[in-house]
Amino acid sequence: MDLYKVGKIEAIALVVIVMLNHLVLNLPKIFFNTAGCAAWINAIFVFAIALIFLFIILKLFKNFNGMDILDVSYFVGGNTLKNIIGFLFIAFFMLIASALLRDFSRSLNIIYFRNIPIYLVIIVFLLVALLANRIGSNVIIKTTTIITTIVLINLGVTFFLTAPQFEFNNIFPILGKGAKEIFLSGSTNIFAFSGFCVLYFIMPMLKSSKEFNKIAIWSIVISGIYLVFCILSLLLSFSYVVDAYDLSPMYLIIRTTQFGKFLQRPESLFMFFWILSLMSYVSICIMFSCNIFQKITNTRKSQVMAYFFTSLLYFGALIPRNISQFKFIEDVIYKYFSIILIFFISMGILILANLKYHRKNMKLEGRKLNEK
Amino acid sequence: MEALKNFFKNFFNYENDDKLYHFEIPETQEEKDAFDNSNGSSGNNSNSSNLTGSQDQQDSKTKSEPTNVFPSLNINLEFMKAKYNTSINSDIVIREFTLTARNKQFSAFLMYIDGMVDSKMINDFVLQPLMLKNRANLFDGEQSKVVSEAVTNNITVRKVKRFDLVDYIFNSLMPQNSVEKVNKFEEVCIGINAGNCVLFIDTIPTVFNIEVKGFKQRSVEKPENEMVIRGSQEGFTEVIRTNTSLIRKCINNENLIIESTNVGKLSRTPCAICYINGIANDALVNEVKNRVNNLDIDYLTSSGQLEQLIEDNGNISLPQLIATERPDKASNFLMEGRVVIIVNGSPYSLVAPATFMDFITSPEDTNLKYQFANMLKILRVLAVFIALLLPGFYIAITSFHQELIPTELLFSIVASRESVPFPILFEILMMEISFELIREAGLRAPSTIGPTVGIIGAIIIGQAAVDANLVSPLLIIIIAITGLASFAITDFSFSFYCRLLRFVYILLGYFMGFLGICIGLFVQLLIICNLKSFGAPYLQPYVPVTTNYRGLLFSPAWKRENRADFLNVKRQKRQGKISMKWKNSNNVDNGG
Repeated sequence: MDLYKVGKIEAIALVVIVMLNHLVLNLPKIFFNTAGCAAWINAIFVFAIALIFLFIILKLFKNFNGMDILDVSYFVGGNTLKNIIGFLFIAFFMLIASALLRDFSRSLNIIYFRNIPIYLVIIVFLLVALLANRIGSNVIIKTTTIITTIVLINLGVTFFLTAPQFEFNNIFPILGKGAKEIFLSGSTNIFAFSGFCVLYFIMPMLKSSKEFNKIAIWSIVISGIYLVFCILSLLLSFSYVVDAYDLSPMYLIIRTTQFGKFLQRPESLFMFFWILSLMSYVSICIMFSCNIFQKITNTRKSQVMAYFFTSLLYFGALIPRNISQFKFIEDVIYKYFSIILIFFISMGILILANLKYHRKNMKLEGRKLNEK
Repeated sequence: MEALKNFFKNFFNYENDDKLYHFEIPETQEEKDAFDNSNGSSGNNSNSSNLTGSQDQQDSKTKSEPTNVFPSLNINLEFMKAKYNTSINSDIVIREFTLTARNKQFSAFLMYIDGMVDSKMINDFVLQPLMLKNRANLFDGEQSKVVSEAVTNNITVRKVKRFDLVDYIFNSLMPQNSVEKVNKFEEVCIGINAGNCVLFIDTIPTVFNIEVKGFKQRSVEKPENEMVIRGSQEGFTEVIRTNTSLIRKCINNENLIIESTNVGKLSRTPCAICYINGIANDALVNEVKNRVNNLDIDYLTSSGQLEQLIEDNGNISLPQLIATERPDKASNFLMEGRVVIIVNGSPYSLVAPATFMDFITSPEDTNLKYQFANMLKILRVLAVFIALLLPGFYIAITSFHQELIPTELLFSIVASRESVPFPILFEILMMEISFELIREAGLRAPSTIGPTVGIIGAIIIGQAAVDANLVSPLLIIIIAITGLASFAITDFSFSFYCRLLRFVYILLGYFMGFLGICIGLFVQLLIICNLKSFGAPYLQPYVPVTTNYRGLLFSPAWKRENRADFLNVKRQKRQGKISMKWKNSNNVDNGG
């Protein structure tokens, strides 16, 4: 797959879309389950942690300009580590995409296509994603830029539409389930910023690697602001006990809004844009999987692998037999896998790489001194 | 008894005459020979062989043909007669006469195509000076002309220029502004085909190609399909020189380059590639030239045909070049750094590269204040979406997403559809096809009854269809709004694209609701994002994001300081930082 050089805005869109899709579906629910009516504090707290984490990553990447996490892994542990990290990230992309695809298809199935089997709905998304990957990564990135903009506007409109029904009493008690839940258990909600996974791979794709810092900061700030606003608008609109319904909280909140007398149930319109967003998201996940595969196997053209990853996604999305299995995958496996991979393993590799880098530098300096 | 039986059999039975005339165009030489044998040799055998012979034969024939003009007039005459099939070609004129030069007489002939030349011009400025015995051609002076003379040691050294008949005729007997000396038959034929007359003279292996074009042509009229209120009211015509002069009139600059080229092996259609030297990117100009000059086609008749031959992706129905019949619009694009292609015989010029934004921009926009222009542009974007999606949305909402419709309206829709016996897909397709039929009939019908067809179609058939419970009244409104929206799109090709895709969205909306429409939109976005027109991404300046170019909205006239970024022009600035210098009294140039 030819690597397309992306600009600043395109790169930001790539990172943001990963978070937005989870936000639209199940992310707020997890925050409410953790912190109750203090979910918004938890969101701000997690956002702050994400920012700190971001600055550490930027600092660690400073010595590895133009490299992605695979190159850094190769630097640390050679091909073995590179392959292990590569396959872990492929598994991660497959996992998050299949979980989200299943969740969204299930919602669509419940709302509109009761008579159509879910596997057909999933196939539709995958076929589109496959087509996108066959056309090329540059096209996916360009399309994502447009769709991310639309979805950001769409969510912005949601906040405004829900504003009239805000009930500020909903945020009380202010600490919800308690400080421990917010700041200790709630810290695991950092997985909401899974867009970091894109940041690890985007550096070689950039037109100018000097822009990396700006891209990273902007994308995480936008993601964080939307996360906080989404949770706040949900919390202020109705009680945090939204888990009673088996649908996306964002869908439910849109369902209660009215746009004058004419548009009393505008949720389908919002769903329309979220469908586009999910198509883009699945395409991106397959694209990154193909790119990683290409890098670890040194294949010349990895586009053919799009068929394999699409099939893998399809079967992955069909694995959960019931809602409890599906919830387990979403709430536990996905959550902890992303935390371990993105925030521990990758970070660990970056730290080790920096240590190795400094040791090498010191050796070189020592040799120079000896020569003198 | 047998005779009686045969009589009745023949009486009731009809037998086909096996010797019925049967014709098929022969494809191979064997077929052709068989056809000739069965029909006997025809009188025009030599002529038909040119058309039906294989390519190799034609090539070998071309190779065996003489290339240079002969000194003998008779040989030249016979050759040209054969070349142009003068025995059957009625409009080829050969005028044989005796030319007088330096009081000597030479046999000569003129050859031209009737209807393509100006006869008066030939009479007054070609035949008269050559045939009439006046002082110029009767003068029998020195045969050699002394150019210079010098005397050294009582020896006179003269530099003499020998008398040359060709030069003499060219310089003294041809009161024409455009005469060319050629000596190859190919060049002679090009001249004749282009509407010139050629002069062959005995004993001279040179032919004079005299420009006496005199086609009957349409005068410069209002553009038919790109009308504006405040802009220029001149449109391109079918004649390439008129069109280039119209552009020259708009751009008074010597850097405007108009390069000529011929496209088509047989038609050799004159084309012009126009650009502004010092602004247009060299690579872009070369790419256009490369594509136009590398077309292996027999003939080219219109710019529409050329557009399809040089666009980046022929399988995508989106227009990838701008077609305009307005010289001012073409000039604006040239000044921006784009390349304009003009084809002789077509009143539409092509502009490369094209982006999506160009198709929702009207030539009127530059004449309007930016606020008005922006309002119109937003309206056109809305029109694109309506023309593309409205029927699809209607069908998706009524089939899958009824909750979007207010309850009262939903009741009214249900009530109006109650008496309609068809499924909604059939109903909407029927109306869409009817609308397209009305539009097509209105376009093809003679201009006097064209509008009537539209009115009859729109009002009477629509009303009758509702009365007959074939369609619901709401659907008529939907189709009418969609039709209006498609008319609001400025570019004809782009409007066509929307009309075509509308049917796809109707089907997708019917089968999968919003999910189907999303699939369509996503795939369409992929295609558009992948598309490039002469190296320029189609969705510029938004994807990829670039600066320095007007996007959807116009900035005020004084703020349009730079040329399009994606064109990578040589001269980025198109006006000063502060273009309205009169506002700053210190910088005012009083013209003194």
